[in-house]
Amino acid sequence: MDKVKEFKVVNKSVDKIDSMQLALGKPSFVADLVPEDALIIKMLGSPHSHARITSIDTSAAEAMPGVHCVLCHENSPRHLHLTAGQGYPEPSPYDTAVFDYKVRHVGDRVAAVAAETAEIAEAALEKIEVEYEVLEPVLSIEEALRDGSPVIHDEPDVSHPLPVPFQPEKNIVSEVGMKEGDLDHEMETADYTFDHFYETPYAQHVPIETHVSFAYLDAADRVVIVTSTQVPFHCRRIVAQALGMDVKKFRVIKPRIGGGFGSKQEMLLEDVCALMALRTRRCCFWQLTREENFRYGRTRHPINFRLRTAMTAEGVLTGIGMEAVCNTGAYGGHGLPVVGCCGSKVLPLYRWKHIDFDAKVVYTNLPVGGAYRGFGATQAYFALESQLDEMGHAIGMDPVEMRLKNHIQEGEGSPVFAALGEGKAGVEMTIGSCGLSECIKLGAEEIGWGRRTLPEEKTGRYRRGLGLATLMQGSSIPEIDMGAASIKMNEDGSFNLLFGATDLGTGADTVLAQIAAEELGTTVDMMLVYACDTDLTPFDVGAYASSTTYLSGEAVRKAAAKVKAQILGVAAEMMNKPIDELTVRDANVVAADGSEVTFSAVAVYSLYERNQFQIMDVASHITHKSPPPFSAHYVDVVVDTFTGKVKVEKYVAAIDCGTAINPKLAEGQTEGAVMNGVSYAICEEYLFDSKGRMTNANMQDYHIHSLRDKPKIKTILVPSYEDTGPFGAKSVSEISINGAAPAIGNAIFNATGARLRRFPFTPERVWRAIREQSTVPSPSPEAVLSI
Amino acid sequence: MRFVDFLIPETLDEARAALEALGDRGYAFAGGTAFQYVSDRPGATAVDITRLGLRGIDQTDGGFRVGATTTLTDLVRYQADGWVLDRVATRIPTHQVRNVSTVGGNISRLFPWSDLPLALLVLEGGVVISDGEEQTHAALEFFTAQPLNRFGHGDLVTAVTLPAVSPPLGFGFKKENITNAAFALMTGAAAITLDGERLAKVRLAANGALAVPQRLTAVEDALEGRAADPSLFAGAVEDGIGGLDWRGREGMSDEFARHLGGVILCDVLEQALQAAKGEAE
Repeated sequence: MDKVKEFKVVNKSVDKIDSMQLALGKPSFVADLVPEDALIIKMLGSPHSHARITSIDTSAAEAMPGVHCVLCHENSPRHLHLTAGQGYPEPSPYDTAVFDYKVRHVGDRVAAVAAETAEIAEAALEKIEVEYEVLEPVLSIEEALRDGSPVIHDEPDVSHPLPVPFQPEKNIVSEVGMKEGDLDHEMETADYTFDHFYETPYAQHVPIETHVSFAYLDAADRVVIVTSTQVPFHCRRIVAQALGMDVKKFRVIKPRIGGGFGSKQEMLLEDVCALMALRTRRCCFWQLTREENFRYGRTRHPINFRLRTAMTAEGVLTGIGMEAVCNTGAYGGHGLPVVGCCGSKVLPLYRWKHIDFDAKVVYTNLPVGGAYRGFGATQAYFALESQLDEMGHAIGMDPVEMRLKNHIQEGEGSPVFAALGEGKAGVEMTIGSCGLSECIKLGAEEIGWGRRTLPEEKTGRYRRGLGLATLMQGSSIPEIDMGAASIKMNEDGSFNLLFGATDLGTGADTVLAQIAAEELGTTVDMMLVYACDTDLTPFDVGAYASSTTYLSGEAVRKAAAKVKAQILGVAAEMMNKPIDELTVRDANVVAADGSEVTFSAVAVYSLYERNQFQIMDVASHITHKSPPPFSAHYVDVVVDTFTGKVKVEKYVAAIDCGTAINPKLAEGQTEGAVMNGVSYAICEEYLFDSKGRMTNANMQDYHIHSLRDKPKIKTILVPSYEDTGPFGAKSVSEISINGAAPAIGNAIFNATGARLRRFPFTPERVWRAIREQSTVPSPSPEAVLSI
Repeated sequence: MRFVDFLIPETLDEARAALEALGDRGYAFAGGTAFQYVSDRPGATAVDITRLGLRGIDQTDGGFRVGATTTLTDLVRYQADGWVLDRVATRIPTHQVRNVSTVGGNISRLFPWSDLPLALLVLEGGVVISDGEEQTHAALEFFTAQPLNRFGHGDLVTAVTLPAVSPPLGFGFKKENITNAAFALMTGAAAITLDGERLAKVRLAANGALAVPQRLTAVEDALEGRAADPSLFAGAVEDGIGGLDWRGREGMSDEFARHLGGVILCDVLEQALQAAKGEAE
């Protein structure tokens, strides 16, 4: 707290730099920019969850007037790749072809048509004759792991770029784990032990803008791909790999993004758009329908947990064993990184001496898991924070006290940090900034924790409950992620700020502009931001892993510092002063004697007058740690015990994100994530029929919360200062989705005495839990549970 | 539904004539929101009925006449003693839909989530249909089958009628949905007329987990003539709804649908009784 500093631009709620263009509806998004004569792509999706294509006849479709190209596995290149955008080489298998002779989930690619109109393309799809050998589907984790289960990836060319356990013949994508201390012994000797199973469901990101891309050939016959992506540079690399061509053949441009939440950390359309453009020499445009987005887009991985914990009679947490089995669906995607984050972003929150973490990822013939805000931590926090609530209840310890007593503190480390990385070992780290205790205390005060009573004291049909969950996340992936930025000065004192990071609606462009302006001693309106174009902007891994502010922001700050040094050098020559007597302030260079020159004068001097050169520079940044933001989430719910309906009345999210570069945007990120998390906890789920076909793949039947359902949300920004982040910043965007499910589950228990270890907390699920609990458990040693 | 043509008649007679001439291809079109659930048909032509003077709410002797193209937002905004459809309409999501969706459209096709028909059923309202001359059909009879099947080519719903609600008549309405923008999992409506301390008349209907809005006559019969005692409701509902075909939707089991139906029906009966006693807000 004592490190919190005063800034001129940073830590101020300046307006988003793109707000006016978006509010005015100016053409900004991919679909706004499509040439009128673009061909329209439509895809034939698989009706089966598991089948081999024995024959496919596209001749009738190809013969239709207005049809320009039909692609299928028989006429497309086969270079197995990974659609997930990750560090390279990736920690996930190469198990995907542009089109394959086998389909592995309902909605999987079978063929695609490019035609003059959408109607012609759709009609052509109906002319494609496909014969399938329908195979037995694998529709659950249990079926995937059963001996003799059908093998989903039996293709001979499937491979993994890293030496990790990859056993496609057993439907196992990967395994990861770690051990510290002796958990088994601790479970035998501890005062209290707990052992329960938890399940988390599928969910969709549901961005307003579905996946959308178009591609065309430029005058030099290079393929230009305009796409809504969080990972432009990964996208370029993956498209090149998928089509077996050089990276230099492709240019990827990212305009504004209409929401991503992780879903657009994936190359889903771009390879087909590019191949269609190459085959037809026309611009080819593809946007998924909402139904396709559900079936073919990515999802949150469902994960099953067994969680064992041990503690002393005084409530000191001593041991934890987390077994996680992650359903990645038909393709490996982000499976290993996601399940790794179940451990790396969750286990270090408390000071366990004995840790067992064992996780595996399995294929099924269900929709494909991908990156989704929270990324494994969301699922694991449901298990951990639910069980922590049970532990406190068992010994009569207040959940607030239990967390204050056990959470990690500044200066402390965890063996988990060094053990768990992405496809390799992690990086040792100590906590540099931690405002969690203050988050817990301020949040408790705001929610009115003092009025909380125990479940057995409650009567009547409508029962109020308070719940708590505490959280940490990370800020970028250490020693893997890299971001870069360039800054060029113009003669009016403005700057072109270019970076490869992607703003997916979060306000990242504004935040990065603030960081540059603070370092340069100017204002945000003098920063001309452009991102991202792989031909023009420096490399960045993209927007994921809570990295943009912390990682790309520091690259921007470093580039600005270099440019500032050049400005001071030119000014020193102009003013005939020693450079160490000069500083920047309000777009001027100011000398110790008070004399000054404007940035504009410095730029004009360097461009036109003497010793001319372009004031500009570029900087790159990698991180050696992933400093966690911390948060305490409180919720106040009312449960209708007759119907099982849960109403969230108030939600408090107290968050330590270091220096909030833009407090209003940080609050917006927090509120949005909370809404997203509440929706996931209360109502979001994929429903399947017996063949693995999703039965609610539309916005009428797949429910998400909107502003009509919004509870009162109070965000409390608790400042801290992270020395390794730009101006003390850590990440903010992911962490706040993780609290709703456990906090609401704990509040339901507090209201009714019914413990739910599976969500969403639909009326029926809550009603059954209330009905099935015979008595409200009392806080006593007899409540010790073991399996 | 994709239309190939859109006609804009200026009078009721013109609209009726157009619909009669179009036959199966003609569709009366007001708010248009129900058409997303109607399959395409070759040559389908929309006949706009929003300029025929059918929008508005009038007080009549002891009740109200609501024009067929009155929007659901109009129902929410209207205020008068004994007016209850605002309570129903405000629970039909969303604002955007309420601004265009009309009374006529809401009652002409029955869905599991139809709400206004429930209110008209329990309040024993009427549906006014013009086949050249207006005829009023009792809601109790009108909603026993899919209403569209009753219409001849050129017939148009022009209005609905309902009584003003005040003690000793009380009205109850409740809807459960997953989110505030979702269709109903369960909707119940009740009307109770008191005769002193006795339940002189009970009308009860449910929808959501039933295929179409249904009156629950077994419950009504069990309660009519008995004491105005809410403790009797649960038993009567439990005994009276078992034979119905409760269907769970959206992941809800049939068993829970039936349970939820029972809870909601008891709730609306209690609301109606309270209102009939003049104790409601």
